[in-house]
Amino acid sequence: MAAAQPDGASPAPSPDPRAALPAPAIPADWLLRLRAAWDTELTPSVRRLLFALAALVFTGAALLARLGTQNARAAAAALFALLFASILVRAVVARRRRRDARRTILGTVGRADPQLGAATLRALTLAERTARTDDAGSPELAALHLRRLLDRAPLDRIRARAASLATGWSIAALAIATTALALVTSDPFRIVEGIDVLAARNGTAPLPLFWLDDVSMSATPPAYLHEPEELLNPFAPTALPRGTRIAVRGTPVHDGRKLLLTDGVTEAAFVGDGDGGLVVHFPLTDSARLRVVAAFGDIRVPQADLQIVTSIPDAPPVVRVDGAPRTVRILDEPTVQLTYEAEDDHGLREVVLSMRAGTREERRILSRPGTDTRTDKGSYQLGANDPFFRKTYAPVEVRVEARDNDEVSGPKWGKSEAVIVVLPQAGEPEALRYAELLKARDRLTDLLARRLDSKFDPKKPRDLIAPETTAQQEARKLTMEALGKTFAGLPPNSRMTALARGQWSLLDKALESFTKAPSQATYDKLLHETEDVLLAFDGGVRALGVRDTRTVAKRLAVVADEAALAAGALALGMDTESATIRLGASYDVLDAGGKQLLKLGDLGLDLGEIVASDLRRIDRARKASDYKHTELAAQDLAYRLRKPDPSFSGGGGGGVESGGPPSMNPSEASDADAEQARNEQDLEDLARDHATEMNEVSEALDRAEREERESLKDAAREHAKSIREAVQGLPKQGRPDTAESEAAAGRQEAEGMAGSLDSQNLQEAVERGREALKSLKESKRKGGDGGFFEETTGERAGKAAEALESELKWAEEALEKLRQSARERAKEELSRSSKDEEKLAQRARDLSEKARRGDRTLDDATLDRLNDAERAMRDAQRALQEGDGDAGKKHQEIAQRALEMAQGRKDDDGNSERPRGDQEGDHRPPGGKADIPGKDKHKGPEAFRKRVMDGLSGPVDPALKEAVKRYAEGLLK
Amino acid sequence: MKTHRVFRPLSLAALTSLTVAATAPPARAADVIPSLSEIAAALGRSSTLELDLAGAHSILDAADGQSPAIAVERARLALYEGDCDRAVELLTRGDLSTSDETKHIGEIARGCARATAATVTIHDKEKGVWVRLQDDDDAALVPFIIDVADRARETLARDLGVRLPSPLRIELVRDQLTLSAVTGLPYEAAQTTGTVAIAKWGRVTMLSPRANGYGWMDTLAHELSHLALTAGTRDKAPLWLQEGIAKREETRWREPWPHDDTPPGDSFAAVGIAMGLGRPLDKLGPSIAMLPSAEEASVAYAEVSSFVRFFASEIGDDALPRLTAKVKEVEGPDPAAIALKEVSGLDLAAWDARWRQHLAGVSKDIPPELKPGATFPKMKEVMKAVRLGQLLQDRGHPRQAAVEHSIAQLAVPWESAVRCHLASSLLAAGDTANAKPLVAHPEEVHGHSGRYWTLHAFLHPAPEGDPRASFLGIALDPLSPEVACEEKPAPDLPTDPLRQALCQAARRIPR
Repeated sequence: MAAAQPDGASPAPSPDPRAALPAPAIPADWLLRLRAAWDTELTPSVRRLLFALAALVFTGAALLARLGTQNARAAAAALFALLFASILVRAVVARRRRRDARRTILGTVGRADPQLGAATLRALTLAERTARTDDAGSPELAALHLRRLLDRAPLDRIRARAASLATGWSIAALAIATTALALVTSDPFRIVEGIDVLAARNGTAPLPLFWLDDVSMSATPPAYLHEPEELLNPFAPTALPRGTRIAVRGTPVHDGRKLLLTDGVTEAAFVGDGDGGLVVHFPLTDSARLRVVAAFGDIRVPQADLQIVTSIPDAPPVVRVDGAPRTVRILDEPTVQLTYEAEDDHGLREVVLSMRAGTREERRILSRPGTDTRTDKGSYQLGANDPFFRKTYAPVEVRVEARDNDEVSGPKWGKSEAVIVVLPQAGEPEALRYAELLKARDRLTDLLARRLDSKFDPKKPRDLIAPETTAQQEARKLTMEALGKTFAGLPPNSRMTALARGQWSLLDKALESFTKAPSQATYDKLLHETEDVLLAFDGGVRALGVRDTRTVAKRLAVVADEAALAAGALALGMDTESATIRLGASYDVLDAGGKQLLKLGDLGLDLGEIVASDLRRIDRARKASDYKHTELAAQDLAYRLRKPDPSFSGGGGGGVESGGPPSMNPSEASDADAEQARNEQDLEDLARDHATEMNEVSEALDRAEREERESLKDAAREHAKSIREAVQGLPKQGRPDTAESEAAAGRQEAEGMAGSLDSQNLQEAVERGREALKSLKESKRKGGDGGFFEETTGERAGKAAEALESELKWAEEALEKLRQSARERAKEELSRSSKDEEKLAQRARDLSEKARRGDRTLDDATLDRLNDAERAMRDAQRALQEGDGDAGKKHQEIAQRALEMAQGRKDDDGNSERPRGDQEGDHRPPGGKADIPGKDKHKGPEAFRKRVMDGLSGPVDPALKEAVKRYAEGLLK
Repeated sequence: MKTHRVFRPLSLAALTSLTVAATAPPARAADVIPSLSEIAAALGRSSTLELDLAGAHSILDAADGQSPAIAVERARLALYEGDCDRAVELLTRGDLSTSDETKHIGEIARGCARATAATVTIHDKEKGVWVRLQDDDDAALVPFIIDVADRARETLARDLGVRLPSPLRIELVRDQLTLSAVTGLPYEAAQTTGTVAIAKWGRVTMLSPRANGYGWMDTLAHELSHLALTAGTRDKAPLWLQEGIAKREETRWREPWPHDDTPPGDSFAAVGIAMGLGRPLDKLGPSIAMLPSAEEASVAYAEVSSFVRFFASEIGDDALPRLTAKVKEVEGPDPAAIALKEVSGLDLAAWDARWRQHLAGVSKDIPPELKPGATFPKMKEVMKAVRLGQLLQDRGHPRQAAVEHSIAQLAVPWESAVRCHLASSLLAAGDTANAKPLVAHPEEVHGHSGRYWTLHAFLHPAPEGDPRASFLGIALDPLSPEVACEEKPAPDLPTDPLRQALCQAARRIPR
């Protein structure tokens, strides 16, 4: 210890006495010698073993990481960490052990000579103890004992022992190294992949690897573009239509890898192309940077090559409407012409007209362009009477919209700029029409004032002729112009027009009398006629005002209901925003409509005031957020408008509480309007009854013929068979204007005739037979082709014509016989119809005479048509009386047409004249009796159906006949 | 108020005794004795009918609100107070019986709630008159209405011994449809007879003269008489008494006016009966407004007014208050007949005979155009000329219009409306001299034309003409612009502020 502490100072206290023990208890050189003897032999082997082990762990970890799953990568990382930790720990431990004398002795001497080792350790212990305490003996002796024992340490044996151990370690290292090497050499690239995968961040490995060689690329545009496949320059930037399928082909550099093509979001897997290569088809959506990657679990190891593809989107269609955007007031422009052009970069599928007003929307298909159509042009006319405009008072946004054929990202709509259609306010067209009629009435009033002023001078009897004629013509022109005007689709009122025509014809006659024989009497007559005409016109206008008021009021009642519903919703706190908007919109419509009502004469003024008053009630409650009372007030307005009667009626002029003396009613000044209404009703009844009678005649004839036809059934079939055989050898088609084409036409008609005979339709059989014969004869005339030994087509057609001729003759005779028999059979019924027809003719005459006698509310043209109808009815009556059903039917048809024309239902071209406004109005005379035909009596619709069926199932290709019939049936349903 | 003071002790006493009876233990009594709620309902109803609305409240508010009978009577009371929303609310209970009466009240309440929602109400607390206006543009009429109501109330208190309660509720509705909805009168009946007012549900509901000019002031007085009689007799007065008294009272609130008895009521009744249009006094049906025609209605009015006038003249002015009070007191199937006999010593049949005897002596010489069911002579010709004149005048041809109107005037010289048309045309043509005589002598024409009076006032101002003429015009046709504005051209206004307001209301929407 003295040596250890030369200055004699006491050792510093230490918690671990051994730690404070001076190492030199054993001489350092001894320890070094011992360690060197051991390590010299053993360390190289240990290092080899460690290296091999590290290699094995590294390889294993790489292979484990290559699985690519999160767990596998974590495990691999753990292995690596363990490896490094182990190496580090071992180094530390080894270092410590080298310093530890006991361990050194035990690991060297103890292994070579365990007894000596134990003795040495004991000696060491003794030396240490003597060094620490005084009572353990002499430290020097103990040290000496230790040194002697150490001197006895068998270094050779130690070396041998170490060498032996080293051999074992070396063998183990070799085995491990071999294993590692085997793992590596089986596919060294896997180690690289594994390490790459292990180092991956965000699913992508940092080191690009080469996966695919001999890459080729092609692009197939989407099918709807109808473009060919295109070869691409691999990995050169390109631009392709959206939806293109990009095909990438190549040879895999490493087998067994799962290769993908990805844009970072979407992946498509390569598959074998059957030729040792790989192929992938990648659908292009948005612009992409495509890479080939290998998939290892969740990790993608990219190839360095990059394919940049710019996606060219399919643009939505571009739609243009001439003049859009614009605003159209339907009152100024009753017909809105929408001329449009729709274009798409690839193709259009559908073009529609879209109309929106508030929450209502309607779409109408304008066209469905064919495949590859990129442009579609067209025009559409929106009329003021369009169904969408009915009951709509808000501005309507009209657009043309086109849909493209994009099958990749879904069809896209392109819209035109809007055409805003501003509809008239409720009742505005009626108010404008009324105002126009009032102006016309004013003209008549002026004419009367003039005539009241003018004095007939017997000395200059002709002086008044020219000015009165001019004034009357001018007034007539202006009134008829006013009557002919249309307001936002509201046509002239037919009753008013008819009334005016009738009145003017009266006035014209009075003027004519005055012109022919000017005298005070004829002038007075002209004056009185002018008064009557003015009163009749005034009565008509006022009555129209009443009818229009009722119509408009009922329309406004619906709007008031809507206001009530909206207010009700608000009262319940439901759907607040929408209900507020609906209430506001309804209020505005009612306000505008009420103002129009004020312009529609007395009843309109009455109801218009009520609308204004009730709107004030609604507004008061609304402003106070008292929606319950808003609802009630709106309901009250709707209730009132549904009964558009004058506010006061009955009891003369109104006494105290009720009743009262007689009062003056301006509507009693002229009966013209009521008479006009009665005449119209009578005419309508007559037309309806006549249509029923006509139908009964038709049915009687049909019934009789049907029974007769049944008896011809077998014979007709036989003849049909003969006809088919006769034309069997004729061609079915041929070039135009040749014998073949004529023969084909003849064959077709002949087969049609046969078909008609099969169904016992002799009339049709005869008609088609005649057509067939004509064609066959024409074919015979033209001659046509033929072989040397064969007949020409013309010759064959000629033979067929001969056969057909006799068949036709049979059919004609059979038809005539059938008709005669049918006439006989139907005679009794026709005779009955004849009497009915006579009664109808008398009704027509009575109506005509009544119209002439009264306020002359039917104009000359109507009376003429009524007379035509009467004549035709009398002709029909005579024909039916004689049992000639066909002739009777034809006359009836003429009469019916004349009646319908007299009604104004059809003009000479069969076009309807009846305006929409009239359909809403009340045509019936007040308190008039209306006969409602029984379901079996009124056959108008049924007759119409039959006519359509007859027309559409007329001469057609027999093969198509049933199809046509089915089509017609469908139409009529 | 009088009825209120009289009834309350009685009703409370009755209530107490009936309550004791109702709560009496015998089991069989429960089958016949009404429940407490039914008793309260009956008493409440009685008070309501007497227009003792405060009394009705005191009974019904204290009663069991869960009882259906109480709910119905509370609804009735709400209707009498004009609170239709409350009535609807009370009647929406599911447990209420579906009796005809409940359904009827429910229908009226709903119609009333709808028609009166968000309307304007004016309450003159000083005069005790409450007016509800369906059309707020009629507000200009309210001062006149209050004045008539106030004066009529005093007159009725004097003539019948019945003071109408305060507030007196009056409703002015815009049309017959609403009149029907808020009163229950069938709409068709209103249209047939030209009904303009109904006194029911404790208030007068009358048509705004905006719809059609009529003698609205007298009508109001007439209807208030109904209310008074209903309250004074506990709604036991038969129709002949109701209408007879109302006809008598309709002109007694004011001084006599020209044409008050044109045609004379007795003569009209006599002629009507002779024409077969009359009906026995006790066979007039539920309401004159529901008679099949306006002619029969007018004859019925003449009959009952003539009868009551005859009765009052025979017995004396105090007869009617006595009769009214007696009808209220008497119970039975026909209290009026009993009361009539008790008050006068004669029954209805005897009085009817005496009255018919009286009618036999009156002159039946009334102009044909005023006879029951009369129509305009040469109606078509007159109408044509009038209409042509209107058209010509509206078009700015007054001279020619005068020609046409003069044709009409020659045909019906007594018709005030035709005279007005002619005078108006002449005035427009600058021919004032010829216009003046047309409206100079009211006795030359029959009444019922407001325009006649304003033209009279315009062309014959007082003292030459009748100083009341302008007011008479307003009493007949207050919202005709010419009448309301006293023939002044726009924008000139009458000097009187009330008439200024009336003129402005009339001009708001030109008719």
